[in-house]
Formats: sequence, C-alpha cells, structure tokens
Amino acid sequence: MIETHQLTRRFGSRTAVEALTFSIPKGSIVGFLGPNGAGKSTTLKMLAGFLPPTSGTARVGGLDVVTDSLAARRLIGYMPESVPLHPEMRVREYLSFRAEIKGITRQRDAAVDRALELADVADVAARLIGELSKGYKQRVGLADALVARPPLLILDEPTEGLDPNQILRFRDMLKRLGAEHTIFLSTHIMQEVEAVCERVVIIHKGHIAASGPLEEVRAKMTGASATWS
Amino acid sequence: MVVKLHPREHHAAWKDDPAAAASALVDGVEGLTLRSATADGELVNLVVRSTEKGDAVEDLVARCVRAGLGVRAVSPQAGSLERVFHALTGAEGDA
Repeated sequence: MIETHQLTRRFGSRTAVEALTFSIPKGSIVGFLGPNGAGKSTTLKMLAGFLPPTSGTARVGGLDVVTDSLAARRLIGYMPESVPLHPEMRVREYLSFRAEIKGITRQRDAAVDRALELADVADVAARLIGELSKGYKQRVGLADALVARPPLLILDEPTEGLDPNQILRFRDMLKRLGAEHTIFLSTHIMQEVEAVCERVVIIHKGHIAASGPLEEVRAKMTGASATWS
Repeated sequence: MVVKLHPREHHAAWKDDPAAAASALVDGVEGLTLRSATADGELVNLVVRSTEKGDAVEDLVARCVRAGLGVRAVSPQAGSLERVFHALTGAEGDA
C-alpha cells in the first residue's frame, strides 16, 4: 500500500529524513515510532502529499505522491498531529463541507453518516466543534479522514492529549477500522503499538532503525542479547 | 517465544531455506504458529506464537529432538518493544 525508496527531505542545511526505504502491506496496521524530532511527521506529511520530498520517491497504492499527487491523495485519509477543525462549525456541517472538498457529490449525507458512526461521534453531530472535548475533537478529525472512504489512513499521533479512557476507546476504534483500512500511525505510546499494530517502523535521526513485523523486530533484539555459544 | 535451534551440519535444508524448514517442523504442532525463522550464524531463531495453553511447546521440542535438531534455548520473548526502542534510539521514555 505504501512504498518509499530513498525518501529524503531537507530544510535548508538540515536533513529531516534521509534515504527512508520501507514498505507497508495492504490491510496492515503499522506503528511509526521515533523520538521527538526523528522525522515522523515530516515523513507522514510527504506520504500525504502535504510536503514534497527533496529526493527519493513515495508511492501509495502504486501512485507516486508527487507526480500523481491528486490520485494518490484520493487513497489517503490523513489526520495531522494538530487537527485543523473549524470551531464555529457544527460537526455534521463540517464533515459535509469536508466531503464536498474531497469531491463527494453523490450520497454525501450517507458518507457523513457513515463517518460519524465509524468515528463514534454521531451523538455530537449537531454540536459546535469548539464546544467539544479533546477526545471528541480528535474523533471528528478521524471522521474527516474517513469521510471519503479512503483505503489508507495516515494518523499522526492520534491519541496525543487524550485521557486513558479516551485512548482505550480510540484504540478499539483503530482495531475495528483495521478490518477495512490500511493504517499507518505515529504514536508516543508503545503499548498502543503492541496492542493494535502488526508491524512497526522505527525511525531515529531521520533514518530507519528497524522495520518489519512486530515480533520479528522484537526477536532480533532478543537474539542479539541472548545468543548462546 | 523464541526457539534457538542448532540444525547441525547434516541439515542442509535449514541452511538453504530456514523458513521452509521451520514451517515443515512447526506445521502440525497444534496450538503453535510460526511467525519467523532467521539464520543466526550456525543457529536458527524461530519465533513462534502459542495460540492456546497446553503441550504445544513440549510437542515442538520433542519434534525437534526426533528430527535430530539441537535445541539451544526455548524462551519467552523478553524483548519488549520499549526495550527495543531504547536500544535502537537511546531515547528515554520518549517515542
């Protein structure tokens, strides 16, 4: 579903990510881990078409995110770290607006209803976004990512700032969504990756430190520290 | 859990294709699923997941012994993701 090759992004003289090569199979839930400043958000922005790479390529569903940007973006539901919501709009109104922007002309109401249900925000559909709790706002952001029924969800720290109950609820939601979507999420919470993800990509100082099935990544470390002679 | 096997010199199949050899070994052991098989020098590390309680581990070890494979270690997967993360990044509680 996602394939990157030597993906690199520089900001002036600073290299944010360098030569990232990894792939994410269709239908998997993949955790993206790295210390602050490792390049996670930069990578996700490049995948989502928000930021052009300096060099290298990224393909989503076989489409290059630069040369075939519009088609690639139709495959992606992107939830950035700070969800850009309109506080003066009501939830349903906002999602309908977002659906229109994403080109949903037919059955828009049904698409909005579906997103409201999937993201568990149907009960606040008529409320002003500005009056919602942080957890609800995050889920409205997720509903936005879902409204056009993209096969790939890219979520940048979706549980940041949520309380433990909200995190558990969000985690359950991700598991459900994983049945129909490929999900690539960055997070600060490793238990979240262990609970939800099948695969992991670990990035450090702009480079891939490890990538693969969760158990394989763990096993490599175990093997390195406990080989018998 | 991680099973460290020593295929010994006469087990050429393990050197040529450890994944296929491991799959043939684990297939049929009730309650176990092979997750990966990787060569580690002269050893092969199997990562298996137990899907139910019972004698699956004993069955696997017995099968290894019958097949003439050396069993160097059988251990739970001790490497939590957090430990892996810290080992790889040197980060302190910050993912």
